[in-house]
Amino acid sequence: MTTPVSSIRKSPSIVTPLAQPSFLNSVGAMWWRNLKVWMAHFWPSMTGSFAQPLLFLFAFGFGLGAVIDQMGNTSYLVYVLPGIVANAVFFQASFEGSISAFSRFHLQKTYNAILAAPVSLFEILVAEAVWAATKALVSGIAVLIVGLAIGAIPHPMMVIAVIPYIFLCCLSFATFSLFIMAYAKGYEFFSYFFTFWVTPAFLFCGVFFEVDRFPEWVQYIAWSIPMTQMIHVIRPMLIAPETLELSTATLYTVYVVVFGVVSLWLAHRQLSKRLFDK
Amino acid sequence: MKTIIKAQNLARHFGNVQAVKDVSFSVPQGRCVGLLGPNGAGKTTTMRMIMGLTAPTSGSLDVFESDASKLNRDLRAKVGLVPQEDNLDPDLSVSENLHIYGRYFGLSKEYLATRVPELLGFMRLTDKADARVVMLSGGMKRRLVIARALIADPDLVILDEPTTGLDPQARLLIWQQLTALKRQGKTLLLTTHYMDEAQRLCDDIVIVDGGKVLDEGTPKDLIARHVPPHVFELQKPVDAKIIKQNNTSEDLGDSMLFFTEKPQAITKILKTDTPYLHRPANLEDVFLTLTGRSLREK
Ligand SMILES: Nc1ncnc2c1ncn2[C@@H]1O[C@H](COP(=O)(O)OP(=O)(O)O)[C@@H](O)[C@H]1O
Ligand SMILES: [Mg+2]
Repeated sequence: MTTPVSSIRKSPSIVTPLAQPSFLNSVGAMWWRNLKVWMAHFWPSMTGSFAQPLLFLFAFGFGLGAVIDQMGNTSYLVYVLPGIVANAVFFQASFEGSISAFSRFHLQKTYNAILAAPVSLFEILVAEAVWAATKALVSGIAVLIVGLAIGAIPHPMMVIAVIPYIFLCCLSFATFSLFIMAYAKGYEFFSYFFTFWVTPAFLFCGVFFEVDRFPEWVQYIAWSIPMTQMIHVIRPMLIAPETLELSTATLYTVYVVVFGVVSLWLAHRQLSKRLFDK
Repeated sequence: MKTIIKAQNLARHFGNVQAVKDVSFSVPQGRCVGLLGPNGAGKTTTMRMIMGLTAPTSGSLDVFESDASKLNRDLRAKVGLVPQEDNLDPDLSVSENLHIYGRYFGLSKEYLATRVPELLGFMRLTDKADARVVMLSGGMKRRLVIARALIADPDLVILDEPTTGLDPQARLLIWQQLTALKRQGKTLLLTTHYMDEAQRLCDDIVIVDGGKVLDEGTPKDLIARHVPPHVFELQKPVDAKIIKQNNTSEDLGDSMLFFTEKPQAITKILKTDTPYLHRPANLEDVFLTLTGRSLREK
């Protein structure tokens, strides 16, 4: 076999690469990579992002709504819609930050591949969090659009303010999942995460009714999961913005942010041990 | 000549496992240096230390005259890595893998639009540009990993067992293209446990075993230093006169190896109908002389 040896341009650096490697470039590049993979599985992705949260809305909004009718002085559908939004984004961000991120880290060795390029682990984790938050936000927006279409959002303009707030909360949910993922040795590990974190959030954080209906110790658990804070900000924003006190909203937001930052730090600490043989 | 990699008394242990005990070598600019050693010799650990992915326990390691564990972004962008295990994006196509990897280096779309087809051609993957990675054979994946390492036109290319597990044709193509890279003036560091690969590609060879350097030099020097130039393999029973000659010999079970300076001394004793093999000494002989022939199981 005497195939001629082809040549590649000797010094392609003459073509100046437009972007320079930077924090934003690295984060954007991995975000883009995740988007491409998501698009490569278009139909399962669409089902997960749109069909699932809308099924929840249908089942609880209309199903439960037919039984419960009123919640205070709003209709149950109006009451539950922000809860469904929160639950949808919480689930998506948690899933993407745990099981999906673990597949990239552990199964596909994507983190190893990227670390051989001039990208840091911190940039990888920020990209993962931003990506998980993006994906979660898509589901949240789907529910909000349906809510607008059926007239279940009394203050439609508030949706514009709610969307960035949801994104911020999703970043926090995602970094916490990344922190859990950083300790996983196998997929079985995530059954703890879903049993003791995702499911309690769904049940106790105020998606379907007020948290204060639970015994006190359950309320403590509920308020430790930042989805509770999120629901207590976005529900008044969409239903009765005038009832939301700035100080309360600030306090809740600080909790969400601190929770997310600490999670990111812990995730980074544990993953650098695992990836860099520390 | 500039020194691209300089490792001095490098050591790394994992708990009680001494993966790398004492490794020193240097890689001058434009050379191809091979770390040759059996499985478990510490080659991958050494590579990972060079990439800044594992910190040495002791010793010093400079890459581009900077501490390997503190390379800045610009210097990291000048190194291309072909890791031992393929970590491509299985769900994406061949060309998407390259485009996406290029983004991690901050390369522009315009640049990648010419660079990606160029690399696909170089690694003979043009026909597979749109195939998903899961559809590729082992050899194609390996070629794609090499193409990916070249995306930012690195000055230094590090290849951890580039052809392990591939069929002869796939190995040959990779060897040809690595030779082409060498001709372009790139600095290459590769690990292998294939003697023929090391002998064929490497200007300098560092023989490692058990985390230590046994010897280093050009393939020629190593052979001249450790084994006589002629090797005879003779079936047993071997004529007693040959055994008495006091050549270096090795018992292979059914047959024996004789290393000698003077081939005529052996050929004149051999009966004309005796089947035998006479070949020049090679790296494998050096390697086995240095490390012993017995099978080593972990
Ligand atoms: N992260 C690690 N943790 C524990 N032991 C390791 C680790 N990496 C490598 N080793 C051990 O160090 C030794 C050298 O491994 P390696 O560098 O992969 O050798 P090679 O690449 O030459 O086959 C082996 O015994 C291996 O089991
Ligand atoms: Mg190895």
